[in-house]
Amino acid sequence: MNTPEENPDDQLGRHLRERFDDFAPEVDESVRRNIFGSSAGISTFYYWGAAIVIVLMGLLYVPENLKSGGHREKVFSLSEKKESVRGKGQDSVSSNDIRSKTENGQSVSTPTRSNFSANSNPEFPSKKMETGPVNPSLTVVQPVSRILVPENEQINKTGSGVPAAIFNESTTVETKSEELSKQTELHLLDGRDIFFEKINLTSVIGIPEVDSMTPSVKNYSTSPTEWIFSMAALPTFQIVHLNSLPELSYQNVKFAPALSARSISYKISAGIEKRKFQLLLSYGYLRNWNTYEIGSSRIKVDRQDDQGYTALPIGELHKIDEKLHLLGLSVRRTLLLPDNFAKLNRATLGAEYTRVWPTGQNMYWANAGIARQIVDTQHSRIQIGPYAQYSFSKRSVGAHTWKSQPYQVGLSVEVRFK
Amino acid sequence: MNLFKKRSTGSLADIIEGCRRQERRAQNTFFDHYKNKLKGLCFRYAKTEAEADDILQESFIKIFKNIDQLRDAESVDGWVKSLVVRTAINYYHATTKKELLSTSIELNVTDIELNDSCRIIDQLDMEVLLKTLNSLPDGYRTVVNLYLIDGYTHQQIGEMLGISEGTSKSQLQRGRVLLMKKLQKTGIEDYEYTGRKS
Repeated sequence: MNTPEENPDDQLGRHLRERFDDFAPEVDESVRRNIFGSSAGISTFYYWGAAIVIVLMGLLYVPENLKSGGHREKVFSLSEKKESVRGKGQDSVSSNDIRSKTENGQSVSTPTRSNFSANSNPEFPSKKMETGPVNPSLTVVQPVSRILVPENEQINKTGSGVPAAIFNESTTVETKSEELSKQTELHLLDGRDIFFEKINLTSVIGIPEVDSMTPSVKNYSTSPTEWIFSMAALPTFQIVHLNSLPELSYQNVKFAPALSARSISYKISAGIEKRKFQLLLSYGYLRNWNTYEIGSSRIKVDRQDDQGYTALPIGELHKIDEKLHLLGLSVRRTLLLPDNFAKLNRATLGAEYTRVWPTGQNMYWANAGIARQIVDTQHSRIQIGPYAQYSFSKRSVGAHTWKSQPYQVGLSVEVRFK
Repeated sequence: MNLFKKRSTGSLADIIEGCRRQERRAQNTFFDHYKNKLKGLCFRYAKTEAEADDILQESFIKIFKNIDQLRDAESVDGWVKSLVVRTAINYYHATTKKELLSTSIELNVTDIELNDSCRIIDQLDMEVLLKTLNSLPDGYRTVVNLYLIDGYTHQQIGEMLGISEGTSKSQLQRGRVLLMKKLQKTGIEDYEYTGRKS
């Protein structure tokens, strides 16, 4: 039996149903594009992801023969250099060339510089050396970090008194033309990770075992792969995008304190680094805590001391307390910092994709960090430093009118295994 | 010998099967089959046409994603409608419950007012009628749509909105009265406008 209240409902409902029963308005074609664009976007994402992974793998494991020829020499002109010269028309010689000339009993002069004082080898400048006879047909060219010695210091290149520290490093020998030039060109390779052909100087000075001399080339492709594990504690901040409507007015929005369990997130990453590129898988725990009020049409009016009144909309309290789990894939580029730059050794810049569980949202991040090395053993290194990441994605929280764009600044500890 | 099996997308069951296989052609056919009807449904629950399009778009994405859950092709109409309604409710989830309790309305309605309202519903231009319905607060509009037009029971509405059955009834009463008052006001304005124009 219908109650008296239900009868008007039935009557009104019947009329409404009749009117809306065949209501079928036109649909804009953009809706179709959006629907199939978004569903196609999933497969497109996987294609892009696969392409990125393939490219990265290619970069990490590029064949050696492609990279070894890629180094180019830079030529620096140095004036007032008399001890050694570079031969005109010849860039380098083979080991046989060196031997044939050294067998004549001639010696080699290592270039010394009076205008430079930088030296990266701590042992090198401390040794007092003697100058030997100069072989006019040979020039020894060394990496810039090795040949730049303190002023007034000279190096002995002959005999058994040669310091091992000098010749264990990369050294190349070049032939010299008949005429000595007052203008000297030192061949230097660019970058601190570029290596010269390693030639044992004993061959240059006539020691018989020259056949055993085997030039070796060291380049990027032979740099070792490092395994990386990192942990980070990241206080989370957020940019909130609110679309406050007349019928949905937010008020008294409060966020969690910066250093509290309600705002700190954690992140664990593991992956590899090769050729200064890192490929990492990560898990993150993201906490998002806010409270806010939805204002109602009711207003609380309070009298003030100065005969005035304050009117405050009475709101209904709401709380957001999200505990999210983020699975991510990130790519980072490592940058070596100049020595003694605030005692920091390296910086990283990267991008990361994360999938948020349980909401299923995608987030895209940019991250940056700098680190100081605190432990360096034969097999591992530990680095610590500030780390920050910024999300380009806005997450819808609750209603569609509230969107959160997080960013995090914290401390990261990284362990590397060689 | 047919090397490639030609997949027919003739009947609705075939279309649904194609959608289950994530075939774009079948999805387009499905979209064309339901788009206008569902747009009308979304329009009733939304405040604006743009929001209706948003709800419609979100609904179709959910439909194509979850169509495996549809067990019986015969029940596709009800399943699709239910999914769209739930999507629309979620769209206004933050405001639906809040606005219900805050409006003070005179609940007594005479039979004359009821009859006037029904007459106005029949006579009003669809665009104006829809605008009147859309002008209801989110909570009232949702309950009026769910009960009066889409035929859900108070128990179902309570489960959908997370409110009690009694709350659903009282909110319907308030929503209905507010709708009738708006209809009468709109009807008078429409009559005056039509009268002046003629």
